[in-house]
Amino acid sequence: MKRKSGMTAVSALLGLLVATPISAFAEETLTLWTWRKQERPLWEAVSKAMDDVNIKVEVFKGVDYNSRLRLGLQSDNGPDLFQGRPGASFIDQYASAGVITPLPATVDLSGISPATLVAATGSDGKVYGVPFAVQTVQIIYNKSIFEKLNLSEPQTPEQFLAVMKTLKENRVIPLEVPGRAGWALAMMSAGLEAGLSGESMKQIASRQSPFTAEAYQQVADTFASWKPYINPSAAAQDYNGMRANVALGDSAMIIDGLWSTSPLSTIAQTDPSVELGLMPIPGHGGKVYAFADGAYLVNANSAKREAADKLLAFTATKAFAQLFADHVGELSTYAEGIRYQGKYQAEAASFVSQHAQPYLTWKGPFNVQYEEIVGPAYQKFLAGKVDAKGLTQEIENGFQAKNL
Amino acid sequence: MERIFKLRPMEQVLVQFLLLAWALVVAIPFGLAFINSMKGSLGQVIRAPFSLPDSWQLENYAAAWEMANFSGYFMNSLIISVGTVAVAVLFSTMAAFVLARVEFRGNRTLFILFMIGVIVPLRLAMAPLFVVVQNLDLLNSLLGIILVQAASMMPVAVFILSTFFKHLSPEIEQAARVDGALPFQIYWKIVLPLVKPAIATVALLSFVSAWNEYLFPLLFLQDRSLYPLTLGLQEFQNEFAIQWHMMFAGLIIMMAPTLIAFLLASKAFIQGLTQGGIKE
Amino acid sequence: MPHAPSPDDYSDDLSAELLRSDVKKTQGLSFRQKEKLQYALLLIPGCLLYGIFNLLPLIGTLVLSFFDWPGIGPATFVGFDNFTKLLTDAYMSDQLWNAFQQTFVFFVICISIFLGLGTTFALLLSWNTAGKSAYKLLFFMPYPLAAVAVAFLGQLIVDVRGPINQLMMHWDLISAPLMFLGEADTALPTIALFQSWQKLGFSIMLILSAILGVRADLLEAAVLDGASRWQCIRHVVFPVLAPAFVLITILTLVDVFNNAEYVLILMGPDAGPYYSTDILGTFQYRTAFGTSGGSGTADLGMAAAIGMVISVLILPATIYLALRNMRNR
Repeated sequence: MKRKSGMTAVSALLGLLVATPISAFAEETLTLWTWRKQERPLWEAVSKAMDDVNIKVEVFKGVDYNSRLRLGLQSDNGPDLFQGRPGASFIDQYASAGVITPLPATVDLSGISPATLVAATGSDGKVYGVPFAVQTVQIIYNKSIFEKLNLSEPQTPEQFLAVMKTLKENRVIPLEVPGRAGWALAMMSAGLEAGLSGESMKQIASRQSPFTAEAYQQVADTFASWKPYINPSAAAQDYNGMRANVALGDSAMIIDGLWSTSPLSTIAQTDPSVELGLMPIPGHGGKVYAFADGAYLVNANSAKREAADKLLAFTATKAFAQLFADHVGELSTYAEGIRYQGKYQAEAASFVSQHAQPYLTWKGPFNVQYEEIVGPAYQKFLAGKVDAKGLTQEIENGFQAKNL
Repeated sequence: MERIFKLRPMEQVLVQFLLLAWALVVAIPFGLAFINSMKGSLGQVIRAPFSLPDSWQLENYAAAWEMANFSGYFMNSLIISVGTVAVAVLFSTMAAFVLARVEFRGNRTLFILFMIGVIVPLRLAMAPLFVVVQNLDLLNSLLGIILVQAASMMPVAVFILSTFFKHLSPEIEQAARVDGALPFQIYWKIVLPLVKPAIATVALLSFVSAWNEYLFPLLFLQDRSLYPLTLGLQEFQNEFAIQWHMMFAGLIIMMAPTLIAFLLASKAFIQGLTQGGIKE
Repeated sequence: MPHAPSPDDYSDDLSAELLRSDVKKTQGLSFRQKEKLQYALLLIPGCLLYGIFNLLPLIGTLVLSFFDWPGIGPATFVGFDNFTKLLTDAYMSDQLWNAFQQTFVFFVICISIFLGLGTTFALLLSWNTAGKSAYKLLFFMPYPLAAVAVAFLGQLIVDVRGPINQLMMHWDLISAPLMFLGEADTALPTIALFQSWQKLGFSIMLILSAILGVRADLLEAAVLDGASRWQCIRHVVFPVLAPAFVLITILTLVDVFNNAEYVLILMGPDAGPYYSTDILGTFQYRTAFGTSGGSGTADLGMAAAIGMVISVLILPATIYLALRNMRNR
């Protein structure tokens, strides 16, 4: 008996000795492709936190990302995981190619805020990935100028006009608009919708009402009323020029996304000491346009499918969300309980939780068409070729032409 | 021309005036690039692009060299460009020689097939090209890039060289054939030296286009160690703000080899043109 | 010098006869055959390289234009649908013809500068001008500069606060700064000027080498006949420039109609302000890769169709120029 138990003990010990080095070697290396450089520190931290997996991040420039991704996914050297752009148009493409599949049951999405799931949902209604990064569109303003002129954040449209008047009298451009960047104009339109129109956008966002309806017409009319306060050479201004101007203090306010408050952005690089403020566009809507910037997706043809799925499940957890908030410095899609330590993160997070616009036009189901139509329409308006009524008519015509 | 047309002093002044005018138009943007490459932060570039730097930072060049892994990527760029020039010049001179000077059935058709390549750029055919390269197992290799870029230069090169070859008189060649020379010899020893200017043009075009090529390496190379400089400069393109002061430093470094290539080629231009030989 | 024995070395008829037949066997192919073989060997590598890596993919693109393919996943055959949509559907054909007109304007601006200024400067540099080599190098310098640098620098210079506007206001030519890139009327010509600035150096060099290649004896004969300088240039030099002009025209035609780097960099694929800078290159890019938001759907089949249409548009001009060049001698 003694010998037998001795034998068992020895073999158990041997088994343990053999097993331990094997499990140490069993660390999988997964590749993740993205266009966002800021993901790197996050995944380094994740690799450290997880023993059995090591994540290698490949970053491709934004404009090349889609092409590279498509080609990579069709060859043997594709990624195991990748970040996808938001919206059904992106998801559908890759789903019909069989490169992504609906999420397995092992991925628990209960903690993710439901409004962001649209970034990972195809037109079949199924969710294919885990959304990341909530971006908000709001007014970013130069705090020092406001303080110097004793201005506080306007809460109503009338106060807003008064603020702009004061700024103009003091030879500061109240609102800087980037006329050359069609997509940024579409973003601005989305921000205006949320602030000035809010709930009423529901009908238009689902295309039950035209853009010429009152809900959006009032957006155009209000924007038109701001014309005297917009930079005179708006048509020639590009996106980075706009951001540089607010950093330099030549302009006071811009309507832009949260990403511009990052220390790596043009604003911070132009003047690292600049103090920024965030505020929703004051209006009858009272909401802030918020959307998920994309989703984490698993390459269905990856050789390491199991490990990749496991990692994907991890991205839906609170632990990951906290790592995301800390290392990427953006808002996570996790609904509650995340601590935001970045300068502007906490404030933006409060916008999201209290007044996010639920009806998405710009980053919604017809994201592509919205940019294609709204951008040039606003350019026409800024060039004086159409008035506010003509603006909404242009947009509506554009959508009609696309059978939307 | 120089011997025949000397310039009177008044004319010299007028000529200098015109040339200086354009020289200014060329030099000013370069001056801008140069001063902005010496600025210490992106902020300075954006805030005051036309002002001199607060302090002249040569470090940008060193940092660009380091961050963009210039030494490694430089070798790749060099291998790719020199390889492309060699393959393109060799293959196109050989093919153009036969196309331009030998009568055979299908000569016209072949020439038109090449011309199709002049009109339709290879950039258009990315997806099918990728399939071809993949099936030949040339993905992720410098050789693959060299072959693809040389192939994209072939149509224009063949066109330029055929034109030149056609203008050579047939007498030398006929004399050589009577002496028993075979095509290889005629090509190498007799005809090739006579088309030096065309070769210089093709070599220059190939080098510059290969050196600045971004799309082919992007799509066909997966190993970072194989990246050429054009991809290396991506390091300075941030999601939020392009680091212009570093970018300019990097771009100016990148320009150096092409300028040297030009200097070499322009000497060949002049040499080839003023040498003797039978010209029509 | 020792050489292989030839039948002539032997006066003896029989030996000579035997040797002759041996020589025939060992020499193998006749001269004619060797010649043909070598010509073939010279021709084949270039044809193979071009055929496999260039022509074959182009045929693939032609085939692709009959399909509907988002770049990944299945491709559906649609026959001539892409083409009919492109040419008849208002949304697409409006963009196509708008882009075509603007591409043509772009081309005219570039080619005028290349041929006009190019010849002028080439002439100036062909005389014994002081500082020739320095000018040559300087004028060539923009050519190898990366497009992104040219775009950024150009943008800076025409900026509302840039040197051009400041100079013009200083000299009281205008009262408010001009928005070169902001107005629909001026944006396209401005970008065309950027491209011309960069590529002029190549034209200058090409035309210069053609000028220098003019036969000295012809010129001397003309001078002896009493021709003035300008008469010499007009009648002796200009005719010889034809091949150089043809080459520049073809290269520029292909470049302008197919590429759109500067517009893409400065205005994005949307080619604002409201499509006034849309040229065929951006139109095709937009169809292939979507708008600047990044999430656009790709329609590579349609993009291939656009590419085919562009090629058909410039094919006649190119073939005509090329054949005329060949037939000139």
